[in-house]
Amino acid sequence: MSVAILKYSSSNVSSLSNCLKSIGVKHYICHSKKDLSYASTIILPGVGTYEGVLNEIKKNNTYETIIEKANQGNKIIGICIGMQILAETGNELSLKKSKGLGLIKGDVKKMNNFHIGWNKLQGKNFSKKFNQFKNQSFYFNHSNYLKLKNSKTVVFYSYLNDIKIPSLIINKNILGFQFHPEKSQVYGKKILKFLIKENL
Amino acid sequence: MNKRLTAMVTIKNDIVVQSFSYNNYLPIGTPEIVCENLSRWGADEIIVSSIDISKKKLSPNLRLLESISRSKVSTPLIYSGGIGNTQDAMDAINAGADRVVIDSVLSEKKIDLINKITSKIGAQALIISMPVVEVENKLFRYDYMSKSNVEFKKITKILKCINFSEILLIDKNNEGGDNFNIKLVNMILEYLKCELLVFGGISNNRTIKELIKYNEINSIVIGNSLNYKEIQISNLKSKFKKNFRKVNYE
Repeated sequence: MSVAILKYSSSNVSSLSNCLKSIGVKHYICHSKKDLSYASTIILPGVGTYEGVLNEIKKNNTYETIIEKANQGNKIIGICIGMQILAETGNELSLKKSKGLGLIKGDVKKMNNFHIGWNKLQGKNFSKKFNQFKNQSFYFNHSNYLKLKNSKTVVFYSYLNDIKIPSLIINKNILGFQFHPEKSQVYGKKILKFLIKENL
Repeated sequence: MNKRLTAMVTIKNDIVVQSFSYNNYLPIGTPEIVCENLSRWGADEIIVSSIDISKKKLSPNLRLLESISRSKVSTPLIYSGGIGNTQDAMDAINAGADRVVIDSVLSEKKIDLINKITSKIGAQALIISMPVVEVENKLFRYDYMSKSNVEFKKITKILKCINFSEILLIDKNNEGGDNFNIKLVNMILEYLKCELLVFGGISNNRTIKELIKYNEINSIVIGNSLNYKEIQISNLKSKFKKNFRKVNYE
């Protein structure tokens, strides 16, 4: 297993890399198409804006590589904004929608409030192996959320006022965390280790 | 959503210090060890505030952030000190911060610059520092650079033009003390609809009990007393268990 963290200018690569080291996951950090092509698991880290991150990965040609690698069955893990860019469309900075990676069927929508802080994971339709994470608190920091076309891919939701936020999505080899597992202390490390190493 | 119990780690010359109104300081320890302890004890967020950086007009202390990030800290880090442009903000996030605080660049001339920062890192990652004082029933922002008070009405105009997520309200006169002025919260909310982190002299349960009643207050930020009392975080979380997240210890 070769794990790569794709670095973009606004990403929190150090936090993620240090978390992976602490749970014994060997990895490398890269930003080029060539280096990314060696990975069997690609992690798209958090922090940034929808358009900002997409423009950057389109510019350095890693956009196509991520799609190719996903189509070949490699594991793609998106965290926060890294999960949102997996969607088909979205907009954060402008009114015009931008095309995402299209690996998850859905759109990124603006929320009326920021979702910042620790919130619980809730859900009913998950397998027993996820039971240990139900009702545990994880750290969120976002103002947009992913509105999915197929809710069957959602393992856990979190609630902010009346919005049901998909917080952990698994669609075969495509995984998305809306929260930051690398910043969620004990259970954050557990869930990250579990999902990177687990053969889903 | 739970309220957050946030620890303030004040750093001067690379050492964590106990601060008294940002005038007098006593050393506490190394930033890495203090942050590791706070993370282990269950703080919900840690603010790393390099107070000498902005005053000396230096760039963010990336070496310090990287070093804290490499230690056993798995708690969200907010960095404050010397964020003057988009590159500073991105560098701080790359180095280990999850969010950054803008302090010295809050002026009318810098509105475009602040919005550029937001367009790169996202509004959720941007916090505005707001040291305030009350003078004759009026609210002022205290400017550390010029050491003068600026009418809050003027600041409101700037705040309405920029994109950010939360304001870090600092009771300047009570920082390092034990008598946070709750009136400041009411005064700022009269001017502006915003979400707040509150800091400065919050050291007793009575004040916390009053502050957590406000919907607009997302976070109670405590400095000195959290840094050296191991059981302080768990004590506060069990006292206010309906409001704060339960801690899972490693």
